Amino acid sequence: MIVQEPVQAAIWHCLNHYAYPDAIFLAERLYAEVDSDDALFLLATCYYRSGKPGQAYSILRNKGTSSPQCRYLLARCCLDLQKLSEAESVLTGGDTARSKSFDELVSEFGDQACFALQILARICSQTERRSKAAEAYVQSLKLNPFLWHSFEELCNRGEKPDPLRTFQVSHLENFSMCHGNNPVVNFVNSCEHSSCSSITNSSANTNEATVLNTISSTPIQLLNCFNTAPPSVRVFTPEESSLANPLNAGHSGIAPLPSTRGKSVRFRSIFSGGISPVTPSFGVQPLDSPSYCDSLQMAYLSPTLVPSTTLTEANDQKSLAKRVSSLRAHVGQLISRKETPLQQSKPVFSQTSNTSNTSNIVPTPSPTTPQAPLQPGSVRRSSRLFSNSYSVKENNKSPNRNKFVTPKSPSGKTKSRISKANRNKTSFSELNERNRSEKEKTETITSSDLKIISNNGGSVLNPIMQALQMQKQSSEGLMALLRELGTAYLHLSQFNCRKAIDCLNNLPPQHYSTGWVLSLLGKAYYELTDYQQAVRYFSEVREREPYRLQLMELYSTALWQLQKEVTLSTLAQDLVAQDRLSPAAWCATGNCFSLQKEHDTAIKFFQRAVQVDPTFVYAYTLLGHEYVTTEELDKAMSCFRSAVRIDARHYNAWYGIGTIYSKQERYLLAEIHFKRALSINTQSSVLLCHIGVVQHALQKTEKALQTLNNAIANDPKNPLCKFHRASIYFAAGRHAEALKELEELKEIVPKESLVYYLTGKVHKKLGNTHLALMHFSWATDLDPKGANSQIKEAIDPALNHSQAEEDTSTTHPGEDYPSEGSSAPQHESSQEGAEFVSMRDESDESL
Amino acid sequence: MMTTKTAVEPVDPVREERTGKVREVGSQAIWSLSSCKPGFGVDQLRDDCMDTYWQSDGQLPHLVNIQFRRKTTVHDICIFTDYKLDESYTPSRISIRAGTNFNDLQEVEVIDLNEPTGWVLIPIKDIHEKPIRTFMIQIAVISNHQNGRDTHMRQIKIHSPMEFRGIGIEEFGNYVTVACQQYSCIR
Repeated sequence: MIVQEPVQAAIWHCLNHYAYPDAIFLAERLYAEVDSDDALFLLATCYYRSGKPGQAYSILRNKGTSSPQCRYLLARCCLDLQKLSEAESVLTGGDTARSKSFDELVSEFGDQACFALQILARICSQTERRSKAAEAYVQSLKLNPFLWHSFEELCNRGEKPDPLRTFQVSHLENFSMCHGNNPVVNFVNSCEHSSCSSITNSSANTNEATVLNTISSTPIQLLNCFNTAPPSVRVFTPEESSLANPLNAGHSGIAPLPSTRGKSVRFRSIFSGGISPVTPSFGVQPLDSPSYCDSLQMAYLSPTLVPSTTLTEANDQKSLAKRVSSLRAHVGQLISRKETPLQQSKPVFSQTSNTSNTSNIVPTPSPTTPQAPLQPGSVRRSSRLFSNSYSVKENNKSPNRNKFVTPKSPSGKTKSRISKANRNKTSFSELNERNRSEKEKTETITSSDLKIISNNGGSVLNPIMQALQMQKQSSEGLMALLRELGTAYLHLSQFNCRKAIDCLNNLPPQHYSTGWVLSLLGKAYYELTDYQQAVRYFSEVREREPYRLQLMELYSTALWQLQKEVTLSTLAQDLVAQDRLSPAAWCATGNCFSLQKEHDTAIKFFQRAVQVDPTFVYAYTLLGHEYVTTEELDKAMSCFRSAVRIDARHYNAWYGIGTIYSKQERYLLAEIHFKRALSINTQSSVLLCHIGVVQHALQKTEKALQTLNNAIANDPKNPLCKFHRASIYFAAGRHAEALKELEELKEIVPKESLVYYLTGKVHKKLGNTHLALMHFSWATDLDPKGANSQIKEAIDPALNHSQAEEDTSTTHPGEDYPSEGSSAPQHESSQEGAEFVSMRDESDESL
Repeated sequence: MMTTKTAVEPVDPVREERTGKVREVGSQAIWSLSSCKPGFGVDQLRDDCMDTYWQSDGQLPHLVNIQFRRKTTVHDICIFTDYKLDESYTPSRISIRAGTNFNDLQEVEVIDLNEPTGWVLIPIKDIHEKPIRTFMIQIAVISNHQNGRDTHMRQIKIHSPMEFRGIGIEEFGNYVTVACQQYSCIR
């Protein structure tokens, strides 16, 4: 066993540094030499991570392994290769008839169970077993509340998981599901065989004294473990960055105090530094800082380090308190919730003084750290051991761990630089570029560690309990954020867009200004048919994160709706240039051509979108709409049906089916499908409007009016609802109401030819020939091309002679509306339509 | 119903399509010709290139048969001919016939061309001035300029009126402004 360990370590090292060909080569050699499950798993992992699930699948399948980690990986490969039933049988034990209960699964897969459940849930939801899928997602969330994607999927499926209860860590017995088993413990335990026994602080059976004794040496050695990467310079250069965010200004405002002790600060900056160069070593514990699976390692490490820091800091406590209070004014513009962490920080400090009294831990880590590179032996081993127990989740952890750095620069220098840095603003823009959550996590951890240590008065009780406590506290910040995001996401998935927007607007600024949140906002406005706002948010996303592809298809559709040809064309170009395999890019291109009326080309691009990702629902819908415009209704129908098959909650496709039926004048079916769409997106005024029109076509006038009233109540800005209401009034002979409605419409859409046309018709019916002709002529002015040949028809006396006679008999002489003279469209203020109309005029002239 | 017209105003069918009022549906139809010189057939007639052409090879009248798989609304037909290049090959009188198959074709339009150069747009209307709905269109060249025997046609396009986005405004037509259009449908 010992012989092969360095090889494994080397392989993991390669993997962690993305040197996949090397890793694969070595793993293949190792597997040839040692035909064990471990080696097999290592090889399969190498294949899988280098993007070859097929190869990983084959070797795992051939070997027929039974270890849970191999089976888990096999299931993953199967899922990637769309072998759903096989994946399921791998997970549940081959017997599809009697599938195992989730509990069995959990006990079998241990800390992989939550991921196994996620896979199972995906399989179930793809095989139409909705309730089981939901159950599995819920279960996985329960085991590991960090799994946001499970929550997202639940929401997307129309479930209503309670974000407040979901994102809690208090019910967790331990974090093994979230972080895996404690690597340090493993490390220590396995170290007991070898002679490096100094690191024993975390093993439960060691007594306090040993712990305390070893503590001073621990950091170094643990650091050594992490020390595989060359020391990063960035750790000590926080001053490069400038901070735009007031909250962080708060951080750095507090931080200068401890920074007068170069060593301690620097020591913590080892931890924050590898991950986040900008984070002040401590200060405010951000409630919303996400922490991920690897927090555990650091949580374990920090207590050994922090005491020295806290000691020194305790002296400055008073002045610190002052600063905090003065700071609060500075941070005043922040959301009130933000202030709490600031206040909380006080007790932390006051208690740290206790720490200094009770515990004699005064390790001075700085002199020891430079030794780190001198102990390569333990470095190797430990890094291997970590990886060894952590094969599957490696991805999350490895980059962080490897970035842990031994500080090299002399402490004096560090001190000055850091204090300077703290006065400086730290940049968030830089943060954004990386996985910011990872970074912020360290913030949380270090600060919460402080708190815990102080709470325990420095006495090391049960280290494991203590660690758990620590973890819970540190993850609480993330959980609070997740609860907020979860609420917003839930509202959005239920199409309560306004509530979702409110929730999102209440997010702390550093999260609000991320592409994810902004694009969700864009989506919310999009669903409200407020395309202007949607475009605004999406364009901000484009500005901030031009590489973001998610939801860009909605952006392109919003641009399509607003007929912004140039922007849409740019977007399509950029997206395709960026990723030719992204369905969103092809959807944008398709929309672009659709707007150019090149429907055949658009169809080709939408087909490409479907081709690159057959599970991308929206592409089917867009393709369907395109087929509807080219009147290939059968093909359109099959597209919409595919969309609905993939995602039954995709209301756009239900709407599409409705439009097909209403084109075929099968209004009853159309109504059913529109209502189906409405049952998903209950707020949509456009859907309500369509239902109203269909109901009118079915002679259900009263119902139609009711529906339209609803629609107008939902979205008073929607002119079409009013227009249809007017036309229904007109058809029902309620001319006065129709005219009133149309007058209001003229205010909203002064350039819409149809409004004048309909007004003219009403007047004609009322026998006000002069007003009628005036409106018809305005209508023609606004739409000179005469696409609405009806206008001509309506004006032409010869065509309407018989109708006019009929009209005179029904005219009500009392209803005379002489007031319209003032609202000549030519003088109306230029709204959105103005440009469009004038553009059309030009093009008509140039024809 | 039969009307006789002389050449219609010159138009650009591509621009017509761009305005979104009509769309080309010829691609959905099956095309056949009464006769052609090898290498000068349907492909050349439909290749969007004005330099290639169909050349008949037989007796007048020369026929272009366009059969749709389903009943299709035809708004107009655009034909590209060029008297400067084709001279006596240029058609001078064209008849448009419509029906469900070869046996029940009825003449809907006859037009006379006088030395045409470029696109000729032939609106297809029924007696109510509405576009006709048909399964089959036949374009017959009844005579050529200078009594030419064979004929050249460079392009033919069949246009269908564009259906409005959204529904429910059949009796009104299309919305003109973006403010309204953006509410007329969901995508």
